[in-house]
Amino acid sequence: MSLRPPQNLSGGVPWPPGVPLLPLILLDGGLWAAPCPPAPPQNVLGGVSWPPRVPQTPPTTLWGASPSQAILCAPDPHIPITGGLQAAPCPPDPHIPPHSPPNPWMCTPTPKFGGPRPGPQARVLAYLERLEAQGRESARKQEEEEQQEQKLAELKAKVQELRAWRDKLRAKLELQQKGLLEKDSFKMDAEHPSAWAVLEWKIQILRDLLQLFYLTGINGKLTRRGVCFCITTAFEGTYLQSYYLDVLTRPEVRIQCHSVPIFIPLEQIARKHLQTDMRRFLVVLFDHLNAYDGRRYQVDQLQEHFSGRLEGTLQRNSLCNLVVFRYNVSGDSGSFLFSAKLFYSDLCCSLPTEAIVSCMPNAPAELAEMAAAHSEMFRRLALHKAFASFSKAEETQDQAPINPPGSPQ
Amino acid sequence: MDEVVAEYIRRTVLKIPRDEILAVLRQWGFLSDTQLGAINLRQTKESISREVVRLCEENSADLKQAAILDIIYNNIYPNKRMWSVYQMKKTGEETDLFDFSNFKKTFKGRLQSALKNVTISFREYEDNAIWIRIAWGTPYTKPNQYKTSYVVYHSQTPYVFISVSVLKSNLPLLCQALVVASNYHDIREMELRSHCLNSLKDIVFKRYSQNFQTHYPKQQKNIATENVDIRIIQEDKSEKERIQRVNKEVFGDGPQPKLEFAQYKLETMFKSDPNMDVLERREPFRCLVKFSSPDLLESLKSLAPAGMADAPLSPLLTCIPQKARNYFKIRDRKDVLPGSFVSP
Repeated sequence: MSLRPPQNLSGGVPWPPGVPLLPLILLDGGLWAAPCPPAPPQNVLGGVSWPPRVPQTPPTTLWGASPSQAILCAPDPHIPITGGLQAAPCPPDPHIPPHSPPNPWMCTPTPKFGGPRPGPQARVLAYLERLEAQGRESARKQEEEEQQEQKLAELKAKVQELRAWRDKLRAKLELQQKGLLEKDSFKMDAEHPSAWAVLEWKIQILRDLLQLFYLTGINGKLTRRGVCFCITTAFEGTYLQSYYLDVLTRPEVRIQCHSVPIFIPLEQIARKHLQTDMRRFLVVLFDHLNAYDGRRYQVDQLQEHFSGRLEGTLQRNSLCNLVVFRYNVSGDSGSFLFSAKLFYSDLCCSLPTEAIVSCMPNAPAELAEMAAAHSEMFRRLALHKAFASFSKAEETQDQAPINPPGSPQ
Repeated sequence: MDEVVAEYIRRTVLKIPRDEILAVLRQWGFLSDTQLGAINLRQTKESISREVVRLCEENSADLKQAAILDIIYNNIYPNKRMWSVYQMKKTGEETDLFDFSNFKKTFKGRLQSALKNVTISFREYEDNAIWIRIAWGTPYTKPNQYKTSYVVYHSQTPYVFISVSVLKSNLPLLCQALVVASNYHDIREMELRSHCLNSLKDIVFKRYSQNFQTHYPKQQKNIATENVDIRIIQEDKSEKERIQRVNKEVFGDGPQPKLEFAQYKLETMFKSDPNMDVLERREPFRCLVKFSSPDLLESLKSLAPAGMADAPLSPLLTCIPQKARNYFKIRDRKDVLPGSFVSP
């Protein structure tokens, strides 16, 4: 908002000198207009006196036509103008110190548009601007101070809190040490452990339990209409997959949706156990999933690490309960091809129930023995581990003739 | 080499995009690496196809090889065909050890005993999928290699994905052979069709994104908080959050399976004000509503967040992956059987 001295309002009639004027605002459009006091109603029609509350004021006929009454107040930037004509002379601006330069509003206005701006007016404007800036500055400082104070108070409160906590922990530690010394009288005497501490402790226990359940492979969460179970499978310490099962409990127990692979006989298991024994149902399903993922993991590992030994493609079905492959075996007299067929007739088991390893019909007898040993190995060890042990055995066999007997290994 | 085979190989090569030709041929494995290296790919596809045919003639390719090439092409571009899902049922509960060689033998025997002139080819893929290509003939004509049926079967599952040939009359025979070979007793069509074979698999194998509540939610990116001007105040924040939550409950977090359409056949009575005397006949008001989009479920998912529909959407629209069907018949309530959400 920029304040400018008033210009000639009524065009032809010059503003009488020595009269304080209403400052004008430069609007966006570049027009000069009086800011707030609206033009008083013209007396021409009604003859009602204006303003009505000041009876001694003679009616104003035209805006600016009776200059003696137009002693208007220079609007203080801090006081919002609320409209209405102020007929009385305005009180001295409290922001202007008494030894301030002569009232700049009393000076002569420019008689014409675009004339040079007189010095005293410019000074007064500069002064006002400075005042405004000062005001803003002080307000800002005050705010900052307040904020700092607030922050300080907060930090102090926190210090208090932390101290209290430290004391509590110290007390607890002492108590525990005491408790260790006299085990029989283990009582969380708890000199008054606050309700909050107890709650936190309980929450922690529950969290640990949840983690424990997650590690066991079966965990669930209550939902609006039932439970959502999560079954996590693992094979020899490697977590493999998570399957979900959304079970509704009302009006009867029923599976709403799930992500269990289609070839797992979920429906059979559900028919058998779901209505009668939820725990049993979950355990059986878990066994199926765990065994399936275990079998698949073994085959994947085999293909990943021993693809060089495998001959042709490995055949398996979706459930991985029949795995057929051929592999190379290096014996004393060159390399031979074994073919293996692994049956997993127990779907809850990740090791084969039957392993048939066969070699070429014309192979030497020692190879047939070896095949039998391999078959035994497949039934006892995970597939990739069995292969690792074959490789190891062959390595030692290969090394044996190279090293002269008795040489240190 | 048979002229029919040569022409068939040529046409198959012509269908493959130029950049992929070499990769497909390599997967085929019929031509040696030196032969593949000799193919000049900087000529028209017409000439490339002739060159491939010439090389195949050197190796004396037969119909079997040509059929395998066609399976490879269809496996790489399954979206060129329309797939329909069939469900099989068995009465017993035994889970069998599925043996691929047995399956092949039974399937082939069954079809060939009924129809002498038929070409059947199998190919097994890593994901336990068996692809079967069948070219049909009649007792008096040779199999038509250009009107083939495709079957994709995952062992030990009750679902079969069939892309039928123009010769539909052989479908019952095909279904019969499938049921017998895979040791089931009954087969029916599931009213679930799409060009995107993998999405159909995701739907029936329950691999699509579902919303499961757990104590261990997956880490998800909070996109809403990124790149948001703090000066912008969301006036309907709570409503937006509600929509997002409801949408997530229905569709889950991940991408949706790709379906191109959903069709609803309405056979409901027209309900109107009795005074208005509009359609007083007690006859179903028949009409067909078809939603189609390149990615229907994804577009349904974004309807509510975009403010174009109220959340949650009608279960008729959101039940598509759960019920594993995109063809519906809607009748008045008295006829509706309570549908189970667990797939049989």
